[in-house]
Amino acid sequence: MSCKVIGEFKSVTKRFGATVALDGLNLKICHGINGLVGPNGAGKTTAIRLCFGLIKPNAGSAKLFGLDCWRDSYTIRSRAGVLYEKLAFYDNLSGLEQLKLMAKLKGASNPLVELKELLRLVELDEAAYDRRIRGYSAGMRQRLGLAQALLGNPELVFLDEPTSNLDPLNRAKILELITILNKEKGISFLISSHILPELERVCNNFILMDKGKLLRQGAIGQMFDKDSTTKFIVKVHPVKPVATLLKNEVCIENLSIVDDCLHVSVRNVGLFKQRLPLLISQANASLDEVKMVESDLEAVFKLAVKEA
Amino acid sequence: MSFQVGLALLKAELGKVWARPILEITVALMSVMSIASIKPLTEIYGQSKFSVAFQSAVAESVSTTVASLLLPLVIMCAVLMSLSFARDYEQGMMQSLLSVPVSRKLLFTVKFVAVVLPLALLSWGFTLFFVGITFYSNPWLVLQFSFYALSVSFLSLMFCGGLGVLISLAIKRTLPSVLTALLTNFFFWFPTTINMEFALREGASYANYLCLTPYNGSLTFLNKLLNVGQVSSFSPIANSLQYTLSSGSFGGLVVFYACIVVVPMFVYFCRRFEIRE
Repeated sequence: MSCKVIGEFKSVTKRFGATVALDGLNLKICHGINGLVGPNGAGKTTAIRLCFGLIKPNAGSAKLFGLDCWRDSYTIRSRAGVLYEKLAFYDNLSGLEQLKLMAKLKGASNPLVELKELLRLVELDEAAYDRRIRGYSAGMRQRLGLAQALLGNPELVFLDEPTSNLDPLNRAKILELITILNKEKGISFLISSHILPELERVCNNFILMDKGKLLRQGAIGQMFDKDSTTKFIVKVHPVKPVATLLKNEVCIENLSIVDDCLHVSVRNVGLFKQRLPLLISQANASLDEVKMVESDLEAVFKLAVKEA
Repeated sequence: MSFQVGLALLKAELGKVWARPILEITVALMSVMSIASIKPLTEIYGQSKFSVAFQSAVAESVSTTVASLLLPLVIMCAVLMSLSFARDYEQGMMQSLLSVPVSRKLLFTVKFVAVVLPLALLSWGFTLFFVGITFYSNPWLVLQFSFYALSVSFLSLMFCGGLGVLISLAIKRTLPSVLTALLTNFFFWFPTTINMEFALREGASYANYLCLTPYNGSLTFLNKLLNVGQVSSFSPIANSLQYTLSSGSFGGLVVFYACIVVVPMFVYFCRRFEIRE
């Protein structure tokens, strides 16, 4: 896997009594936007907490920026930000006061103008800046949490379900913001979410976990290189010449024509996406629609969990 | 820088812990308990004996006020400490605070001080006020004696708060922690209601050791500092531990109780504490 590694877990094990939360976990956090995917209880939040020194591993080594996550957690905490799924603030303070306090605790010298700019960036309603947090809606709290995570120009930001309390429109805005921050400020992200199509849209490195173990890691294309198949429905006119050409392709596992549509099981999605337009033009056909029965990430995720 | 960070955090913690109606409830509870302890100087003394009698009355008044304030102090300290630690853990505030570059030592100290210091100051303030309104003619003496109350309340609260932290970090749930801390502290406070002299006369030998319990120990220490409740050498209880041990021994005992839970909890929080849920 070619990526600039900023964090690495090597055989990390964490037990809570009889429960094994992380079971020899190996993973790499790359520079860019990382997606952390796994079913409930996979150990995603435990892994995030471990990065901040809130948990000490029983075995293995966890490093971020080349520093030990338990021993050097103080330095790590000043270089990374986090938004936990469980949002907690000093509810008696206003949003701006909370941000001022956290900036002070982080040792960030953000003047008031910058703090306001940060709140504007996460699109927190300006009227809410001086209102007490206890009166905030779930979405407003989420935005404030995100602003808090971005305090002090962090190199890496961990986001645990960052869009869980937002409507689809605002979810898209937050994802757009993450992409912009990554491109313009070079901030890396590790996003843990169950909304896989969203992750697929913004992330360039995926970490799939289950039962405290790494299932797969890498870009979507890399993860598809295994024996998995993904189903596509292709609407083309005429169907038959395209079907004949497709049958001979190595990336195709299975093919059938149903209701004038091609139902294709694809072994290598990357190759299929490359070859399909060429074959369609070769057959002098026209493409109406290509629909994936499930998203790439969903397919990989399901397959990886099934294999595990 | 670290001092400023500590101050900012303390301000935020004070605002959270003492938010309405906590302060109002505490003040009301303490007022009710202190009013009951007011004892005006009613006897008539000769001019030569007056200053001694006055001094002894002030000391006695301080002692009874502190003793009557102990129950609300213990209740509020148990509740607030559990709220501060267990609720923060349960609601995710603890993990948020531990994820910013603030040392665990500072966080523990700030959270502990945000509960204990205002309670100790309130107890001192109430003692000063309620003793002062009776013995207003000698405010200096009242101030001097009530300072002893401040130190003793503070040391008692260290024990009570330590128990609160221990229970909160063990249970990690707000309501069960509050109830357990309340019951535990009530159990430790209860021996202060037992009349040692009466129990010894009735043949209950355990009463001799009651003065060694945390809150009895601190009240006995205060009485010894104020020279209150002395008995003659002919009294049947003159040989009991309460009267034979020196004020220094009780001082040591109170400091021991103040540290016995807090220090291990501090070390645990700084070195081993984990967010597990």
